[in-house]
Amino acid sequence: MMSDVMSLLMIPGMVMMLGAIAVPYIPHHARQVFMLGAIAASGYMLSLGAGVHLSFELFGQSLILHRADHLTLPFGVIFHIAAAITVIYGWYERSAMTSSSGLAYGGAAIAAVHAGDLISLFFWWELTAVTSVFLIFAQGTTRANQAAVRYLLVQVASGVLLLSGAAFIWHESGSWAFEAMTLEGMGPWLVFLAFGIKAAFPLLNGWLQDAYPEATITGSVILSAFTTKMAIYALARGFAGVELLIYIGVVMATLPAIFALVENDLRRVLAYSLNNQLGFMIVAIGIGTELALNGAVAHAFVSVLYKALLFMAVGAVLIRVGTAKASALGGLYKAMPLTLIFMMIGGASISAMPLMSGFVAKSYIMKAASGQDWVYLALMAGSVGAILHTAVKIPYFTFFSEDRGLEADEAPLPMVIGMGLAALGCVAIGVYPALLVDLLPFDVKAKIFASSPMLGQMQMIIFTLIGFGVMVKTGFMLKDRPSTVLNSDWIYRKFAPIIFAPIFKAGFALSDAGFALLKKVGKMMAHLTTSLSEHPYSGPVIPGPAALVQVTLLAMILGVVYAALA
Amino acid sequence: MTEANLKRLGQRVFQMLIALAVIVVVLEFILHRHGKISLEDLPLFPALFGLVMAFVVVGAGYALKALLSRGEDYYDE
Repeated sequence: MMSDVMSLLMIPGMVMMLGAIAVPYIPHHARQVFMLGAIAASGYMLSLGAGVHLSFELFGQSLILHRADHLTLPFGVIFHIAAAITVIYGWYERSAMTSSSGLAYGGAAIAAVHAGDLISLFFWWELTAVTSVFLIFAQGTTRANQAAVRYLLVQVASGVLLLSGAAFIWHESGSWAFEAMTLEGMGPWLVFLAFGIKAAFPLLNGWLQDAYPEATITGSVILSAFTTKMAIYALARGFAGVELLIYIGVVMATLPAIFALVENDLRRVLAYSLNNQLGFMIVAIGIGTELALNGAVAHAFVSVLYKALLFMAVGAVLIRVGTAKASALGGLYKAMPLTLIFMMIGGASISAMPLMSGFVAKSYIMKAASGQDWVYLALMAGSVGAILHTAVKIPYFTFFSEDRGLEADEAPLPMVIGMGLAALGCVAIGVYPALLVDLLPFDVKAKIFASSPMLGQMQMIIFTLIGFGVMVKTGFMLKDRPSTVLNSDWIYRKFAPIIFAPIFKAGFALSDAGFALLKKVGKMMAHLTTSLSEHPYSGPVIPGPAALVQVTLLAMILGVVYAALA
Repeated sequence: MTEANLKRLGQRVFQMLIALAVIVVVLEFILHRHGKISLEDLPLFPALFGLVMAFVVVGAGYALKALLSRGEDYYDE
């Protein structure tokens, strides 16, 4: 028994989840060191190599708690790196709640990636929801609390769909193993939908842009790393080559890019930008060839780094200036030069500039997508969007635009170190792609340092920037004003209440009327009882049956009165 | 003072971009760039695509803004 419990520690991420319980009781500096230790200990489990390292029998089925293979490794590695970087970045914020839930959340996501069956996957899937919601609650405002509850509802719904799908699949096939599926029958569709919610498919994405910008500063960095990439892993494992994903991915790669341009809150811009990046991965999973899957995994890997970097940079501005609204920022380039440089590195990476990490991943995805012209062109358009909304818009409105007389210091040292490490990762992978390529699941390689794609990409980036410059000069560029841009969360935040509020209102009105009627009847009955007891019908002639009638009547009346007045 | 600085900085960055643009356009004819799809083989296709698409995306942004943008307190009302 003892050895069984100990063997649970072999699940990657488990040490982090257990460590998270102790985190609130450890004083600040020791806490951060402790968390780094827990992440390192968890990461050590990745060294066990490929194979099933831990499973239990349950109902004649295997609960596979640690399955490692070529697909889990890259996600395991980048999740540990992301967890460590956010611990360093979060050193400044000193929030026990963010630290504890962030550590547990990262651990749960890592464990989910190593689950070999749908039941264990479901367990960790829900745990990522329950742990991560505290990153939003930790902000402590009413606005954040409301967003957190909405976030939790959607996330838990995804888990319920996953469990239902697993039950269907188990019933139909007699196995709950998590392997590649086809979209046939109820079970796989439910699982697909569950993955789709966390991967922020079109119309299922509202939670992402709703919740991430409401989290604490470190919280939104942590959130950007795990949930969506865990879903990318799950889709790559379960639904590679499902053609529908190509269409879904194309919509994701293009539409959120436009939202990102219109949005004013820069953390929300990044949430749309994250959605836009997921589109590239989903397209690649839909194509489903080994080359494409390498591209999807590579893109997930590098985007964890540059997305975290961008969230960190905007977070640093938020902590120093007190706002992340484009309409209130500007002219900070002299005040926060390091943050600016790091943000530019993140922007260059997301733009897939040659010698930056994004270019490595895009080399795979674009090569894989070149079989279908329209998909290729749509992804190119999505890239132009990414350059505009993330690489140009965010730095431009934060650091240049107009001088608003804002005074700010450079980001605090821990934040600078955190950003520096992520930026280093972006550049290192870009300059020396083998760091990433050797981790990819399949042996097929895309040529990265070829002159044609490098030149083509530089042309696209430079001319997009010129387009931006011309638009700023001519005043065609969208001005950022305080606003709310409606997204799919509108469906449950406004539309559903519009439909259901009258129904509920009518229901309540009806039940009120019903109760009023019942009360009236009760009063009449009570009145009747009184008059009956004062002037009994039966008289003294046949007391037995008369008493019985009276008792029965009384019992009925009492019942009604009780029901009415209770 | 800083406002003027910002303007000068913007002009300098724009001039730099034009210089870079000249370089990548010249390189196009030295390196004989070829694309992954046949359309991309057209001369300067990525450059023109980027330039045109930048305007298209921002234009689409105006449409989206007109359609879906509401007041800041929209959800609090």
